[in-house]
Amino acid sequence: MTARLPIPLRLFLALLICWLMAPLIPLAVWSGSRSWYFPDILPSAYSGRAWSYVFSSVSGVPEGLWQSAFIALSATLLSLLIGLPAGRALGLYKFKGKALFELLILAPLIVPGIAAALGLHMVFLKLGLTGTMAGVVIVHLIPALPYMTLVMASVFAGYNPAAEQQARSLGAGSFQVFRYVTLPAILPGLLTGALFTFLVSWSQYILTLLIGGGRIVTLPLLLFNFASAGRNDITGAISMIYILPGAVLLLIAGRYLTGRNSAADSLRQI
Amino acid sequence: MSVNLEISGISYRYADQNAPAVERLSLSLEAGQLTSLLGPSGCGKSTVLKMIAGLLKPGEGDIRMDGQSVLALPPEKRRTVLMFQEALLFPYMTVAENIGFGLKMQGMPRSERETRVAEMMSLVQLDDLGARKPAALSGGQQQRAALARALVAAPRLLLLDEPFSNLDATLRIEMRSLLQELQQKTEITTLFVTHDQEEAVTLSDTIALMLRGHLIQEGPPDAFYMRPESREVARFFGSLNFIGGRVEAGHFLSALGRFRLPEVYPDGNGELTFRPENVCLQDMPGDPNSFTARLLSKEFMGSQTRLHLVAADCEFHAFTSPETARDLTEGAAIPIFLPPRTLRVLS
Repeated sequence: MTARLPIPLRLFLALLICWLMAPLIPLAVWSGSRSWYFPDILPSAYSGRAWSYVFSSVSGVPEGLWQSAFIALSATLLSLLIGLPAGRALGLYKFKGKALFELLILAPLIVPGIAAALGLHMVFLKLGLTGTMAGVVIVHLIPALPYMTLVMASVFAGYNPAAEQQARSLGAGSFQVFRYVTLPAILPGLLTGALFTFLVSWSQYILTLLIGGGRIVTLPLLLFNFASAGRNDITGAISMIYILPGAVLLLIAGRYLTGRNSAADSLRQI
Repeated sequence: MSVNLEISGISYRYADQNAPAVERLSLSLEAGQLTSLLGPSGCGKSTVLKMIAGLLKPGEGDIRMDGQSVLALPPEKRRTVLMFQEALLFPYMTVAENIGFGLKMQGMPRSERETRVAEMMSLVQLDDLGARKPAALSGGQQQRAALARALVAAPRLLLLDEPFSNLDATLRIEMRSLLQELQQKTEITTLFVTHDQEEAVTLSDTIALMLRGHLIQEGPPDAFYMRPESREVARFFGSLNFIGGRVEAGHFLSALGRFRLPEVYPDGNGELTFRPENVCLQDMPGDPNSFTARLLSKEFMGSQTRLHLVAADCEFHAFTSPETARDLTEGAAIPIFLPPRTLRVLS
């Protein structure tokens, strides 16, 4: 059923993919090299050293991976709980101060992260949230919530709540209405929002560093440590691991969002 | 399984509006009857329906089914199924799943549900379409599926909110007779909201006319034609003619003459109304209800022609057949007879 992409568009897509993938190639090569010095085009010696180090507990990578995943999943779940009703209110209803509310939701994307984080640090110190997992999860909500809320608002803008009234009059309770009517209608948008939120949290560096105070070490923090220590091989290996969940989630979401595996389909066509 | 419905003095005001949408409205529906709640758009009729369904909470008054107040019940416990202008089929379920939704919510086991759904689908002539998704159905089929979904759950009360107004004229008539047939078969007490007086008249046992949040007149359909209680009612039902004057000793005195009346009205000022289709273009010498009028203009309307007439500075309208109207020229003097039976005085 899929119409074939025209040739110029296919070329353009191929270029785009090269542009996006190119920076990853040296990282992949680094992760498997023992020595790679200028002006050699390829490493002079290969080894699995970096990989076995990365998977050992000494490196802190397995723990960092677990912490990153836990924080990102918690932040996603919490922003769903907040962003879904907020987005519904914004998408379905008109109320006083709606424009101001929308601006405030966008504020975290406008205000520079560091400025906000420094102020937050003071507050979190007083609350005893610094250096805790909970503190990091909460601070991740700040950049993540705008995405979730705005995605849900646009989903609900095109949603007809009369279907819910219809279901209620047919005997469905609140939970059943959500389960059978609301959820199926908003699922694609909900997955998009969750994907954004997860990736925003997954890639947080400054906020984690500041609020985590070095006690909560996520993958980006580890990555930065090894990169600044000049361990290109280990940096390369961690980068590969770091990219993985994003890529997997995108492929899964693509299937859900369009009813087929769109990303994979496009690749095949090129 | 049918119940009677008693609404007493319910009011509702939307938060963003000053005037109440419904004000102290009382209405009772007899078990098994089909009643139309008729009124122009914005008169509050849909609000009444939503209050009965439990989707809105009345600010005052009570709603009782078989004598028991249902105000404390949430919508899903009232067993009053609503059907809207849009079919509102759930797009992620098949047609059969849609129709069976209410039964599923009632907790009926799958096998029994499937039998009931299949029966209902053949009643609404959707036999082979159960496995399709709603988007694959035509507008009329969707509305039939929505009707089936409403009826199969055996509601105590069926509430219809202009369910056919999105359909084209032929389909609308088909759907009306289907509804009438199924309603008589199931004897579910039904309240049908519509702005279309023709639809209300052809469909219902009783009509309740609503204007600006108030119930204006309630009764059998023909009463609204023969015995409108006010100028508003008469106008809503297409009576175009109102002549000022006064009642004196059983006759109506006006610039047009002194008319005999079909019944006794108290003396005093009033307005004479008669329907344009009851005006006879006929010479009745000596009869007080006859006079001569001049034709101002005529308008061909298809099955009939509307004549715009004037006599003694009183303008009025009459319907006649296009055949009769062909021979009438503008400015011509035309004999008019108003049969006493068709006259009504509004105070």
